[in-house]
Amino acid sequence: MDELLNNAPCGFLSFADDGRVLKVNRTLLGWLGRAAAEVLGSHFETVLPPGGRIFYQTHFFPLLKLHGRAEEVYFSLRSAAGSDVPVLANAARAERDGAAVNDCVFVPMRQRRRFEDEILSAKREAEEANRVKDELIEELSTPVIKVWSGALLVPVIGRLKRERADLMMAALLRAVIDRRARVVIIDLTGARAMDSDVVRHLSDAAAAVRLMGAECVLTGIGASFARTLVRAGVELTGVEVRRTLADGLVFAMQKSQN
Amino acid sequence: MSSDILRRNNVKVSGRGTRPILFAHGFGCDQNMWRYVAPEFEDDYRVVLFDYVGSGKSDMSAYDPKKYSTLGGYAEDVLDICEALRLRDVVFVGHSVSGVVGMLASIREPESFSRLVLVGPSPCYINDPPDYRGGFERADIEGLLDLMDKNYIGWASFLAPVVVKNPERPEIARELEESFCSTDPRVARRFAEATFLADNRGDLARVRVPSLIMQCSDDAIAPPEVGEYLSRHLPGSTLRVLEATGHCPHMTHPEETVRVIREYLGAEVSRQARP
Repeated sequence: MDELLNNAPCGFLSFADDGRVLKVNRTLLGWLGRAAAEVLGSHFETVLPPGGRIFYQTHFFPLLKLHGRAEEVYFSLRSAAGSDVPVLANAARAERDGAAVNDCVFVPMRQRRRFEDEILSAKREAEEANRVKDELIEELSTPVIKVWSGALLVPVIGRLKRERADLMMAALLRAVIDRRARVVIIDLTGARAMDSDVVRHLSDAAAAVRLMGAECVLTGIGASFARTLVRAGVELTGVEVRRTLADGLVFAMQKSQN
Repeated sequence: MSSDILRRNNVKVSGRGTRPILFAHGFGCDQNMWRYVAPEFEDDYRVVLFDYVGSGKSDMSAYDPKKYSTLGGYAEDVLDICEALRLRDVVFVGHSVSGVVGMLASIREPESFSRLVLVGPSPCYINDPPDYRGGFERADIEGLLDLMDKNYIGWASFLAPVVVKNPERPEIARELEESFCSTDPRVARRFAEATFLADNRGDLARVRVPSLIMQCSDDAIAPPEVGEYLSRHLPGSTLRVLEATGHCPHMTHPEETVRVIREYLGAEVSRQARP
């Protein structure tokens, strides 16, 4: 091997399609703590940890064979002492002496690995936090509370969008059946602005509740909601409306006693 | 429905024969893995190639994390394809983990399959001392998952949105595809877990379709002991040790792979009596 390549500040290794190592430079042997005779002729896999062997067989080699090259592939090389050297590998296929060979260049990346480990663990934490948050939001977005036997309360808090209104309606109708509700209070005191689409959805929900044999009371309708109702031309026929939640509860109590 | 499945699994049918031969790729790649082997069967067979949902050019929107977290989900893909193409007496050729997938599919619907050809199969990759040596410890598999995470770093946050947002620029997707055969890193990771943490030794005795175990010499993923274990426990199986080394004889030694499959299919194998 060319002395320049032999001592170049990168690892170099060439292997045949059956994995036999054909060439290896001094730099790489230094990292591996092995003599040339140990590595030459043995399988490339012998300088990889077990997980890396699977990766070599299932990803690295097929990629190299199918596309003729592989770039910026992360690997760990295993030294004779059993420690791992994290490297980035570039590889290309070539033909020498009538046979296909796979030439690989390795650059160690110890510093970078630490950095990437941190990124990965931050990413995992973020994904987990997101998942917990999503669950919590979904739970919070569709609470159906039993006030007393036969009476349910659905407090709508924050911005009500189409998807959330869908979830809410489904949860409410399920609860009306499961808990044999006779009266349902949908309280909008904590609701923020909603569009006419959602308003129509709410009035549909109220109609559906009535179809299932329960009364529906809307409470806590603020000025902006009232304006949207009027603008959307939605008439809340058959739906009881009370100004405050307290008034709604009084109504529900009367209905429950009947 | 059937055309949905064919699109979902990127099913490709070719060949001039009538008897179906279905090639199933292993973990880490897609149907391209068969490009040196499958064409050799086109004269005599109806050749069917596909990608599992989550791999290759399958429909990613059909990916169900729960379904594909066990090998049973992948077996469903195989059965769906058989049904969509109304395949009977299929010769199933599965590489690596697809060997087990084929076994599971054949247990569910033995009538659909005539032979199973298992290329580098393993019913369990993890050692279970003292009686079973799969070749790996759990920590080794963690090492693989770590390696995959590192190689896919930034994919989800950076490249995925780029691809999704640039359907008019297919070269970006192609570049990605070339960088790794399978696409979404979370999908690849789940496939790796489903593959390497599975233990299907208990299913072997339930297989009723005759099978060929193609054991490579010097295969780090499926060592010779695993091939021997399989031939002892898989009813109606024939063990062939290949001269090919490594885990991908269909890529490294396609001629031998084709020859051995042909020899097996040519030989009469008495079908196990069904219970």
